[in-house]
Amino acid sequence: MKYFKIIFIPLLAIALFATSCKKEEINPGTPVDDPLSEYVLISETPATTLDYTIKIYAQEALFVGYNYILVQVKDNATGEILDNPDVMFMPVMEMNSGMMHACPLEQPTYNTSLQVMEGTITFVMPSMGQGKWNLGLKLKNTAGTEEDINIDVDVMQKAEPQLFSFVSTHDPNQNVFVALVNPRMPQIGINDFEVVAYERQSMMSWPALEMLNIEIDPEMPTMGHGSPNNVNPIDMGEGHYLGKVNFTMSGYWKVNMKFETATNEMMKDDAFFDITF
Amino acid sequence: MKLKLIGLAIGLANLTFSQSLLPADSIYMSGLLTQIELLSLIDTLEVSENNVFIPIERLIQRTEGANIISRGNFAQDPMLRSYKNSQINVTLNGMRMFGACTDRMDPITSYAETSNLESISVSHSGNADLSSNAIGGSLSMNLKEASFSGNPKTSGLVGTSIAINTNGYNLFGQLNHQNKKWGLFLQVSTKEHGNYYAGGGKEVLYSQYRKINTTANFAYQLSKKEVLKVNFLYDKALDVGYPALPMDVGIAEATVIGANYQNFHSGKYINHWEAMVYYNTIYHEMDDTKRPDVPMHMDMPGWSKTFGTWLKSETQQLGNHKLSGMLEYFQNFRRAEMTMYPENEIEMFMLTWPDVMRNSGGLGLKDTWEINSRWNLNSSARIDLFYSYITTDFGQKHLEVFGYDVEDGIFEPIFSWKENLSYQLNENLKIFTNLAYAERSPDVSEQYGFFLFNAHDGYDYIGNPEILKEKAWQAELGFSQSFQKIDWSLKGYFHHVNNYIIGRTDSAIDAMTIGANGVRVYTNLPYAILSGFESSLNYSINKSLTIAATAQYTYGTESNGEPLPLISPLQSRLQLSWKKKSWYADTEVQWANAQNRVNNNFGDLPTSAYTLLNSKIGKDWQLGKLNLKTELQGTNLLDHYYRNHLSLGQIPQMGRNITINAILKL
Repeated sequence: MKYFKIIFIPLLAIALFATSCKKEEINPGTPVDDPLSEYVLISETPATTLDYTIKIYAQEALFVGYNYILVQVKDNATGEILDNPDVMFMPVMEMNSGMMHACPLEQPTYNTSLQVMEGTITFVMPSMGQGKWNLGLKLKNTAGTEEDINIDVDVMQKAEPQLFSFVSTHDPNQNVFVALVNPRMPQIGINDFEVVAYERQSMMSWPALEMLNIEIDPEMPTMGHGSPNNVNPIDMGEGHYLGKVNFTMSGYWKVNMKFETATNEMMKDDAFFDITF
Repeated sequence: MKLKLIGLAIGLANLTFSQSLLPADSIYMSGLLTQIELLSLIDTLEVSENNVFIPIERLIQRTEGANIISRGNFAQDPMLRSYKNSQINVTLNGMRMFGACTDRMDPITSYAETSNLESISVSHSGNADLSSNAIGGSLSMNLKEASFSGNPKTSGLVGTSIAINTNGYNLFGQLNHQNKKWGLFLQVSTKEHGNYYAGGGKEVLYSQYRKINTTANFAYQLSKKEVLKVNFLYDKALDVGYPALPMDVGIAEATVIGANYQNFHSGKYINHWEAMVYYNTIYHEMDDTKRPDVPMHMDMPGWSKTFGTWLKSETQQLGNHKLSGMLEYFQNFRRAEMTMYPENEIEMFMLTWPDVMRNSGGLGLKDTWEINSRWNLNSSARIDLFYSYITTDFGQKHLEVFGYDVEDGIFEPIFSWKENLSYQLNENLKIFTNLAYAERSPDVSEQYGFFLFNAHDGYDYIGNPEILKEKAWQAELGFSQSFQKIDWSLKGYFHHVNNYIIGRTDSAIDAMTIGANGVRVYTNLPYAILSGFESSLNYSINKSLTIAATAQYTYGTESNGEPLPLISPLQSRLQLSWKKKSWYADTEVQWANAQNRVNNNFGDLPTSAYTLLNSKIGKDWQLGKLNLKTELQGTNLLDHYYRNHLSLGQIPQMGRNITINAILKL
């Protein structure tokens, strides 16, 4: 009995702490049947000549700023979703004044896992009240038959703007449009900070703007503090600039931005994105 | 031989374990608690009816080498030889507990009550006892426990104290039942005090507090030589003001449960052993709603949960040697949050302790060697393996802000070792020396703290996962002389602490707290030095008159020659005690020198010298079967306006206070 207790009590103790220090396992989540279920269906439109059904998806309702657009093309004859169909974006806004203009975009490429064509469109204006956005698509089948389809879409202005534009102080003829790409889901800690910059050369021509020097300085205006260890975005090509932003807490942040030309002439020194989370 | 100060009895006890490990007969039957020996390494201060109304912190302050840091009139933070926070081990009945407040508003001592304690043991420096894994000593609060008795009996105790200065009261009731097989001890206590008034009548706003405490202990005799004990403690403080800080406390709540098994079967080698399993949880919530001019309202709750278990054993006398050992495991989880509510804007949130889990396994061994009748050598060593990590991805992201990757956690072995040699020169004179090497693992705030505001220097503190452990070399020399009527002792020590942890200003980081001076990151100084002395004298003039005196001093310096912050000046007490029949009285003069050796960089300001006069008179009444004790006590009788060097925020201490105490034994 005595030896039993000598062994038993420590064993009990060990067993107790062994169970208590087990790490909780992370629930992997329920499997997803439809890979596109986490995207928002923007429109489902037939392409009558080609006998396709076109589904347009986005990460959220379309907004003024940098939007990921996913296009799924189904051949109604076979019922199959097409691999790598030939799709081009041709978005146009028809303003109430009758003027037409396009916007910056990145033509879609094929996303194998989702079986969609994936590209981006940076809407520069909201549709509501100001005009109509037509998300134009040019489709072509393997036989070379083309079809243009027009899809009217609503583009809203988010409460926290995801895009700003300015006229360069260095070159008054240069109209610059900057959209926020990341962080989409800001967190406390380090976040990728990515923007995309375009220039409006004409109503229909919106090339990417490269070789800029961009500085960022995040701050919490309410608290009067910033955060350490931020990395200024650097040119990644095609108008994309990638850096790091640190958020020390959740709440309202203002990421101040300064833009300079490749040769360090000031273009804009008081731009900013508001990021609240 | 016994040092007896009226108002409190300081026994210098030679206890290796808590007294519960003494053979059962001696504890349960005779109530004999401590073996008194001068100059031993552990000071045990017994709680009695004479000091039951003195707050725990004030009792600790009266042990040799101890001090307290005050942020108000509640939850003062103990300091041993100028070691503080996690440099010292604080345990409650052998259970480890860790405060849930990032700003040290709830040292563990604040979750007990003097009236539910049997005794407080204080020991200094590294490897202070078997459970010691810090460098600055151990402070053990031993709860009152149930006991057994051949004749079943039930007794009760009711006590109350009324304080004029704070317009407050303390009240407690105890019930004690004992029989041959089992025993039960129950206590409920409550106290409520208003703002206190400093000398000259200046009211110190936000110094009020309210608190309740319930303690239960059940002891069961499994067999003649086996005892099982179950402890329960629930403590809740409400509406506690901290005048030195920008915020108060709404709720500080602790629940503690523990089970302890003791086995006194003596074998050829093992004398006895005991094992314990415990769990405690603390919830702490700061409150700024009562303060005017708060720039922004915030909620700052904190949680601390500790689970632990240990096994202790002591051998028989094996020749000249006696061995004892302890095997221990504990884990502590801490989380603290801050939510701020700006006007017309979304709330702001962050973790200030980002979900930190600490695990530790330790083994402590001690050998007591009576070399001969004059020489004694105690050798002890302990190793602890600490593993700390952040349990959530969300928490880990916080440290990324400063470029730290904390996914892997931090593993740290902590080692301590001590040699204690004593020599009885002759009947009157005993000399001893200690040599110790001890290490301390950085604590949660020092490793992972996220913008913790320190009101003393006005900086936000940030943890540093790469910080190194503190390593201390400690030497001590002392002697005691005893004569017929006088005994006195003197101890001197010199400690060299490598990698001393302190904050260093980092101007690249913005302060988070509105109005803060900047940000400090925990960092290691090359070294710091702490040295000092303690002395005590006791003179029994005659049967009814005793004089006792104590003095203590610490000198602390950083490696660059700057003074260490928060170091007390030279202090002393002189006490005259009188006792005749059922009457007793004492008068005490308490003196502290000015402290001009300060470190402004850390918010220290010079403090003037002060002298205080305290007095007490009491009488025991025997009313039939009832025993009533009444006391009239006055502290700071001259109503001196003063500031203790360790009272933060330039807050003055309490002025004249008269308390009326009564204890009724049923």
